[in-house]
Amino acid sequence: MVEPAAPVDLSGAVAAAQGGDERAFRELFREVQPALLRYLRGLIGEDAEDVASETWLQVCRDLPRFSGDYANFRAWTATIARHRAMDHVRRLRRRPSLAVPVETLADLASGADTESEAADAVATGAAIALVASLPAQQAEAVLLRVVMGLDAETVGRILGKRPGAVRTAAYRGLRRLASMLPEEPA
Amino acid sequence: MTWPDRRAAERLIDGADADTPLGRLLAHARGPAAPHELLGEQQAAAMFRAGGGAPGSVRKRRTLSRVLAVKVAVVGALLTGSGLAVASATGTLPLPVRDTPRPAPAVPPRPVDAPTGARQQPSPGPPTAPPAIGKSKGPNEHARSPHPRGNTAHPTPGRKNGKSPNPGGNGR
Repeated sequence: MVEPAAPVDLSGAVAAAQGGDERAFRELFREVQPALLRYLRGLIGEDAEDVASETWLQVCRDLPRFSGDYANFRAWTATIARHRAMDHVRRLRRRPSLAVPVETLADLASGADTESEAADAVATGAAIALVASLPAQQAEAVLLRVVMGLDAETVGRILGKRPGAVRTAAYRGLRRLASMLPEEPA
Repeated sequence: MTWPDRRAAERLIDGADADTPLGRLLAHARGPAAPHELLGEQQAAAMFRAGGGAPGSVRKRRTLSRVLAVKVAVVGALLTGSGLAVASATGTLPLPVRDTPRPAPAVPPRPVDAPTGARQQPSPGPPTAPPAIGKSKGPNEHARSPHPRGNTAHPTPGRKNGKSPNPGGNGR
C-alpha cells in the first residue's frame, strides 16, 4: 500500500527561489511537479507534459512578484496550470480523454503487488485515469483536493465556486469512484 | 452505493480509510513521485535561469541593451552624418554589448498575459467566470458563485486535520 506522502513545508524554498536560488527552485519543482502533472493528466490527458512545461515557464517568469508561503505556491501553480490547460483545450476544441486501463483496476483496488516502483507508477496512472473518467467538475474537484492537496476553500477560489459546491462535487466524485471499483474482498 | 457519505468523503480526502478500495485508489493518486514525472527538471531549471531568478533580471538586461544600442546608434550617426545608423542599430543589428551568455530558455518567452491585468499581483487570479473544462456540467453543478471571495492571489493553505503544509512558513 502507498502511504500518503508526509506533508512538507517548502516555504523557505519558495523565498529562496524568489531570491534566485536554483537549488531551492529545483526542490520546489520536484515536490510540486508530480501532483501538477497528474492534475493536468486528469484535465487534458496526454498533453499534460507540454502544458506543465508552459506552467513552469510562467511560474519562473512571475515568481519574483509572487507573495505567499508554500501552500499558496501550490495553489498558485495549480491556478496557472488550469489557465494553461484551458488555453490548450480551446486550441484543441475538445477535452482529450485518458484511456482507463481496466485490467489494472482490480489490482489497484485490492492493493496487490504494488511494491515495485513500476507497479506504483502504473497504479498511479490508472488511478488518475479513473478519476479523469468522472464528469468534468467532479474530476477536477477530486484532482485538486486529493492530488494537489488543496482544501475546499482554496479549490473554491481556483474554480470560482463556493467551498460547499467543491465539497459536493468531490463527494459525488468519490461515490461514483467507489461504485466503479470492485467490492472489498470479504 | 451508499458509501462514502459526505463525512466519510472528507475523511477519505484527508487520507483516512486507506485500507478500503477507494482509499487505496486515492493513495495511489497522490502517491510518491515516479522518476518519469521528474524528467522536466532540467528544462524547468533552464527556464528558471533564463526568466526567473533575480527579480526583473530579464527586463533589466533588455532595457540596458536597448539603451546601449541607442547610444551606439547616436555615436554612429554623429560619425557618419547619417540617420541610417540610428534606424538600423535600434532594431536588428547584433549588439556589440552583451552581458555574460546564458542558456537560452527552452521555450520562447511569452508576452505577459496575466488574466487579471493586475501587474502587482502574481498571476493569474481565478477567472471571474471560470469556464468548465470540456464536458458539459451536471444539472446541480453549475458554478453558482462566479466571484471568488477573498484575496484571490493568495489562496489559503491546504487541507485540514494537520495534513496541510504549515501555513506559517516557519520551516519543516
